[in-house]
Amino acid sequence: MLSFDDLNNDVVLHILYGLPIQDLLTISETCKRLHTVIRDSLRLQFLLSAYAENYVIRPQSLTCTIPELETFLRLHTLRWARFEGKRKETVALPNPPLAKPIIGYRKGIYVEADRTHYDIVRLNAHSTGEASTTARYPLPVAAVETKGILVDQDQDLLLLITRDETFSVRAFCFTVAGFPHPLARGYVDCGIHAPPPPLDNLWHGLQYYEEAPVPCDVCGDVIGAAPSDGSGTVLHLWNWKTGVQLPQLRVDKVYTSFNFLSPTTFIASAGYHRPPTIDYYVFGDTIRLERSLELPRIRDDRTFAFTTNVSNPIGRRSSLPIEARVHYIRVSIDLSLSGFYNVVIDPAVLTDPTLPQGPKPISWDWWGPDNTRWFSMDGNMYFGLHGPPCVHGSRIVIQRVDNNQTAEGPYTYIIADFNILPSRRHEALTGAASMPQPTNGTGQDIPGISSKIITATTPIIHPAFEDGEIECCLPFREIRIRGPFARKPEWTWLDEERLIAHRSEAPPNGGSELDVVFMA
Amino acid sequence: MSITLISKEGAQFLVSKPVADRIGVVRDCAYGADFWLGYAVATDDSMGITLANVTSSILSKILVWCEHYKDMEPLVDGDSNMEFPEWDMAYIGHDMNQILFVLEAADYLHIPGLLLLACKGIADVLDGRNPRGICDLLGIVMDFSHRQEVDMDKENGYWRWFLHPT
Repeated sequence: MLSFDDLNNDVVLHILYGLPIQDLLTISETCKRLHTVIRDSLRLQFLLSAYAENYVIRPQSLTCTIPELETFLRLHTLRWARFEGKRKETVALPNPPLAKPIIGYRKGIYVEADRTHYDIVRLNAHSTGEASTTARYPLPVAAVETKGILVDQDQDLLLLITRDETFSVRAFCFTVAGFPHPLARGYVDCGIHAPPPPLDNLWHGLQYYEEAPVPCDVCGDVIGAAPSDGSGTVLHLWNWKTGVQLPQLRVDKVYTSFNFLSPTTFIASAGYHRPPTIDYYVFGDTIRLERSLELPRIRDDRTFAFTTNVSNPIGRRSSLPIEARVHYIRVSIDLSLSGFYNVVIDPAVLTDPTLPQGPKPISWDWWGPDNTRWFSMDGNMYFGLHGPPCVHGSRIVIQRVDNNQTAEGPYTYIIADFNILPSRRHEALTGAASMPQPTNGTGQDIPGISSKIITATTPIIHPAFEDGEIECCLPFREIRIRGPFARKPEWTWLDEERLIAHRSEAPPNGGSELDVVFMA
Repeated sequence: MSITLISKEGAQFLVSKPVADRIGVVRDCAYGADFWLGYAVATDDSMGITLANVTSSILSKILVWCEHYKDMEPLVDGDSNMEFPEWDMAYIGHDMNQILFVLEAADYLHIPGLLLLACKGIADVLDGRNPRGICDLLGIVMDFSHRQEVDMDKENGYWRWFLHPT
């Protein structure tokens, strides 16, 4: 009987080389010799690091041991998502070469770690790898080994996975600026919400959520998730650089406590079922829409960021009333498949029995009439907030019909809209909503202003979509538009602050071409 | 031209040149430096090569493979996901003991195609087995202490989850 012990290491490595990584892990549990061989195998190290590189993490952090990590990450908000088709960049290594191996990389940033500290090396000249600055931060624990450092390409997020002597694996989240991540606080689950949908799967429709009594981290930190005292909903803001939470914005309120003399970058969180659309209005003699920032997709971590470059017209430090508003409800459907879609909206079927019957079901196709008013920027469908199909509780039935006229579905979606308070649902549905009065931060009416800003019903499209250029905000690195319905351009980051892209002239179903315009 | 191969037990196998060429060791021995230096290769029908580490049964099995691949190129590179022809899979079978002997002999005789096939056969046999099953199959004695076992379960469990979060 020939046994494994009789084979020399070369032969063993031959066998191990062809095995998938799961089998390698299994075999490593058989005996010390194989454990050593496999653990020393460069191939395994490579595979693990390759897997790590291909994963992004959502920026809610925790410190826990393996079972907790597993439970948290698998079932709740922290979820590793594989992102496909990410362009990997090749960069020149810094000169002189780093003393320690590079274990994490983001555009222009390397991350290294040892037992007690981790270093963030910023390459000033990204393409040439010239002079770099290093910032050194302590690790929360003394780690025997830092198993993985993941730098989220999409945002200012750094995740370190460390291991101590007892193989306890801990994960820590930081911003690349070195602060604990703003969302890295305690995890609150009100217990009545389903976990967020998986990132990579087609998920059919919105979960229907009742308003939570307290902000919840599953659904929470969202605009409108927790209406407070009938005064609208809360938008949490963090300064992205410092991680300091800023005063809260309230939807349907006018905000007077912000200084926009200098551009400031905030991160705000929103419901994942909700597109991040935010309008700024400047109140003065006239009411002027200063900026309508519309991000192409809501992020999987339900956060979005925007840079306020609104200048104070008075020219000195004073407060500007700012209106933050969400205009669309998103129904997330995988439209990247080819085919023709017939979409049927049935507002008559309402889950809220207190709501009156709506009009007859509307059906339309992709090029539907104006009153249906939906568009697709990223493979998701957006519905206007205040139209009949879009009230809280409306049921949308969508049937996909492909080119061979074979139908798939229908899939039913229920719109959950936290922006419409229960007391206002009836008004919203019947169109009898009164125009809310803009007020200042203290709740007092601003005299002389009775505008219709609050109830904007027309989708506001950022002008950048029209001319094909957009300047966007810091935490986003890359935005991909794909699928037959992607009528919008692809965007690509040029540097830390600018995102420039041109609309591709390619046909919609092949529109993956990208024209990048480098601006001086 | 043919070459006589002599197994460990002394049994003689008369094989033709294209068959023997599949065996790297035999090719090197038979041609020697002349082959690599570009000189004409001496033809000697009575040439005999002793393969002291290969038993008759395994050598005859390997010669079946060489006979099958005397005219075509075997796969020599790939991983466990690659598809082998049906004949190959039937040839290698599922007898772990025999595959291990073939593997060892293929390594000794420098037959990369057969080595890869044997690895594939082992991977197929090991597929889906737990560590204890693998130990029984390969005759390995689990020499971990309980503490090491627990730690390893923990760590490998983490990596398994990491690779397949769902």
